[in-house]
Amino acid sequence: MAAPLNFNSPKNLLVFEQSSFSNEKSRHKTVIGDHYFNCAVEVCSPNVAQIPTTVTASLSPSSYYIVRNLPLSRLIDKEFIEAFVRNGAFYAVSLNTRIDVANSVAVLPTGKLVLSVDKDMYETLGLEGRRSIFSQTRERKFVIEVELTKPSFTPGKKNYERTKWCFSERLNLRFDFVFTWVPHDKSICSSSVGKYFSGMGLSVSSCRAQMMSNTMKDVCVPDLLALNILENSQDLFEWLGAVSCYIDSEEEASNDFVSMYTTPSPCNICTQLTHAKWQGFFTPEAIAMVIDEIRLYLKTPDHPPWASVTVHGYADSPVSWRGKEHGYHQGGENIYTYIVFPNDNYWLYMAVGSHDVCP
Amino acid sequence: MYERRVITKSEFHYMRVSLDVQNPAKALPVELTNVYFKQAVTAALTRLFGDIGGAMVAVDVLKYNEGDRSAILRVHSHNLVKLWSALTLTDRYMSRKCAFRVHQVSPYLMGLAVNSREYEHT
Repeated sequence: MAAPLNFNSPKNLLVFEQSSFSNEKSRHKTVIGDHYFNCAVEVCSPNVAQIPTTVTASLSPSSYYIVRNLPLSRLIDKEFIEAFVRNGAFYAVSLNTRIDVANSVAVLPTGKLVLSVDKDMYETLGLEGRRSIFSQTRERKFVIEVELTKPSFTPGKKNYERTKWCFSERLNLRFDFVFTWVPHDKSICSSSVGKYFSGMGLSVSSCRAQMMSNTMKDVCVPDLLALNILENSQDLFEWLGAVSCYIDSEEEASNDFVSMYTTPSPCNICTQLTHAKWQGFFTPEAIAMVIDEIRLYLKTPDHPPWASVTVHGYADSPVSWRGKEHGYHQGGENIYTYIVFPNDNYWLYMAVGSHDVCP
Repeated sequence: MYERRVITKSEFHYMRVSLDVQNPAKALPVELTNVYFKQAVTAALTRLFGDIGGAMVAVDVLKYNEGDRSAILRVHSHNLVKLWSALTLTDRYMSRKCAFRVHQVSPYLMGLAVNSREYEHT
């Protein structure tokens, strides 16, 4: 008899944390602040007719920009570094670049330019980097990091001139970028970067976050206070995913042949469950504001028993948390979810795929 | 109170798939409801792994959209490779040429809620 076929799926990491915002050792500020490139935010709460306007107000107006065909050499111009990288948090990630098959670039708010390049590009470019931690057995991907704000990274210095020459003469690298800028000086308009790039004759377009909202009536919602979360953390995260994917568990569960999925028990019938999703480009500052607004909202009279905030990172960003390397294997998920309670306690999920470091 | 747990193995994997049928104008003999879609997935598994091998792979159709024949499937992580290969090798359903397209795969259902690769910035 033939041996049974066993195929392992790639490893993945789901981190669950339980803590409180009032706990002085709580890491919530770093978890939000060190996750730079966010493409979607979701808010979900039971027993509310609509998402509070304060939350909507902190996400909807956030505008960001797309610049087409930006030469990389422009990002290391001394004028640009002095005006924008040093004087604010500049977030930029290349657009329509698939990190698993092509090259991807990002500028972190810490002033670091990160390139994730394939072997051919690495060898042609001639800049010093290191092998990707996710392709140790085969030399496939390489990571190059350029510290833009280092005092020695200045015209006239060898490293600067070499980098400039590689980006402009060796290979005239151009990428489409989605970017935003948060200036340290609040009196300066954040659209200055867009004007700076369009002044060079580049095509810059302004974009706004798109919102989708959905309220479900009479749905089965897990009773989080009665749930043994440490044993059922995966089930609850799956249920939140089902809400985000607009899966109607009642309808699908009506036929056992089609699906055996059920809502985690114990659960109660809630008159309404509201879910809203924003897609675009969000800075960690905007997300921290959403969490703060949710915390305030949960302290108002007639507050819901909990609210969840889920943040999705860009699948093709070369970094995820704290500038740590990120890749795309079967998927490029780097997601975190906060479930916030009125007493300031929170449950946090951080989910990454196989090409990511444990957050 | 602070508690941290790291789960290294997801119990399930999730796939966003769709079924492309050649010449959609010439409709299939039946309306492809979620029951028929599930049957197409089961038929793909049985064809590759046999009656018993196919039946051992439990697949749930969590969501199905009849308009574009797209679905979200859930499968036990140890069966992901079997399901994926069975879907890839399918070329026919009800004697019509067809192909399963796999759009997204994730160990988390939440991972399928957003796809930054397909999002159009406006």
